[in-house]
Amino acid sequence: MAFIEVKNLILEFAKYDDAGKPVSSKRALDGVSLDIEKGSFVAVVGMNGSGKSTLAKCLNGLLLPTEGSVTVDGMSTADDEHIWDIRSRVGMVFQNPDNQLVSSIVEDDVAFGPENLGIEPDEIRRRVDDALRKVGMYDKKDKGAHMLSGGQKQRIAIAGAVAMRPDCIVFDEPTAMLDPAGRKSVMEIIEELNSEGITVVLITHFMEEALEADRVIVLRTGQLLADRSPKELFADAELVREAGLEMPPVIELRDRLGLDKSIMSKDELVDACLL
Amino acid sequence: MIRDITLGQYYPGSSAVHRLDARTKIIATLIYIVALFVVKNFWGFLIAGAALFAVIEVSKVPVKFIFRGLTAVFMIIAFTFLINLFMVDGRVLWQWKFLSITEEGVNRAFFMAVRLVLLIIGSSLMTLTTKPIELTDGLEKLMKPFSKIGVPSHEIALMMTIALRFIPTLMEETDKIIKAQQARGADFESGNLIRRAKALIPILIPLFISSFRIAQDLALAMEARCYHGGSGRTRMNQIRFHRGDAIAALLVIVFLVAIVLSRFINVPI
Repeated sequence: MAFIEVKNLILEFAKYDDAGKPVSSKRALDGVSLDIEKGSFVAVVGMNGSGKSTLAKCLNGLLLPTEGSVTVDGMSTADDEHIWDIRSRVGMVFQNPDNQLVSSIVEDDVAFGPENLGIEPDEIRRRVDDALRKVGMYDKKDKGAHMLSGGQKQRIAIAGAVAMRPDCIVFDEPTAMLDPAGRKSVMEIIEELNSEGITVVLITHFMEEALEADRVIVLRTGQLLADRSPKELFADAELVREAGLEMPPVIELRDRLGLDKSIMSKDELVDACLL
Repeated sequence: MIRDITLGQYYPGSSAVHRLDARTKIIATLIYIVALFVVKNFWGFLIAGAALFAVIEVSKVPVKFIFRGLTAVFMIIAFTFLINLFMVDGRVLWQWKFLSITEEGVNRAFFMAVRLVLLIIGSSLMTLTTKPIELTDGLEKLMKPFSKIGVPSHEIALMMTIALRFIPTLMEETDKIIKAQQARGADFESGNLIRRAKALIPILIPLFISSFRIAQDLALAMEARCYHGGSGRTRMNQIRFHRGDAIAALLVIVFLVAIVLSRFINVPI
């Protein structure tokens, strides 16, 4: 059994008229099925409005399926009894670094999740220090959150999720609002967390980030268009265009230069050019 | 402009006053405020002023910094002073048409002004020496007994924490909106008061909307981090009373006794 199982997931948002009566509904997700194995690194890509953020919010029960089911380690997200257990196992990091920090002091914010879980104070302290070291922000632990850059705030948000010791972290476009330096540091942390065994689900619209994943899930207007490795996905230019996506710059350059299709990273590309 | 107000600001330090438990400081400040209203003559204010000055000295907060906070409320003090000066009946010292100053009025005006100044300095000293987060923690702990009768102590404390957290964010947001409006030719600086107040509407409405958006984002993030109210929640920082708090409590009692005794001094100052 896979760690997260999404079965025939349908999610509808109702539209209301001025009197508050539902008049119509819009399908954000339409029959999506997929499995996410423990320890894997899955990227979810798609155009705006393809339903990728909605899918992310379904994975930890922030949104509940209209039809179909989402189970985490055998527990259904629709089951009220397990919802806190699910959320403590599937952490989440959002897009806007400003709007997800609760406390003005860095370490107090990281402690927020473990405090909600009712963990002993000494253990919380250990976890917070650990999490801050992991994201390289330990020396900023008693600083004010408003003094930090966007990338640093996002690292604090990641530490907040890590401190809950989840099995999986869902990143909902974590780099979309960051500058290139912040984006790089956040991606490095994500890869490191994955190498330590944490399952990563990365929602992104940067194709070069999707290249880092083991598997890429492509959504279009709420439907699953493809579910394959980055290598297979970006070998199929037709499919990439159909999904409304762009080729990652590395692949684009590789193909224009007519180089070998097995080249997937900048370093490999440079090596191939030098030879 | 908002940055000039010292009331509610924190002055970082590690003095004995800074290290006191937030609860001790909150209670001491409350007793101090009550004491100011118990005072009947200037002897009492002399004691209160001396005590306040001693605490300021120990806290190592620069006096200049504290007085800067007073300038923000100068108008209130001046207004109170003038109202009392002209409105109290008694032995007339000076008269011009319907305006008259009486001996009692002068006395009362100074009395009220001194009371206000001591009140403001005293309460700002608490916020100057206590981290906002410790203050909200302390309040939560102090209000805990009242949660039995339905006071949402945890919710109030969390609301204060979030409000403090989002002050800088909303200020940035305001700045962004103002710049965006100015870029499109909005004029906030000319015209009379009413006109300028009207010019604020196009700032306030987008700010209002964006604060709702921020609130929604934050609520989602909190839910994702397993927030489900105050029950079953633990805290990383345990606040405990130390020896310093006992000493402070003792000094507060001595102070309160001195203030009460000062009511019986009949010698005019």
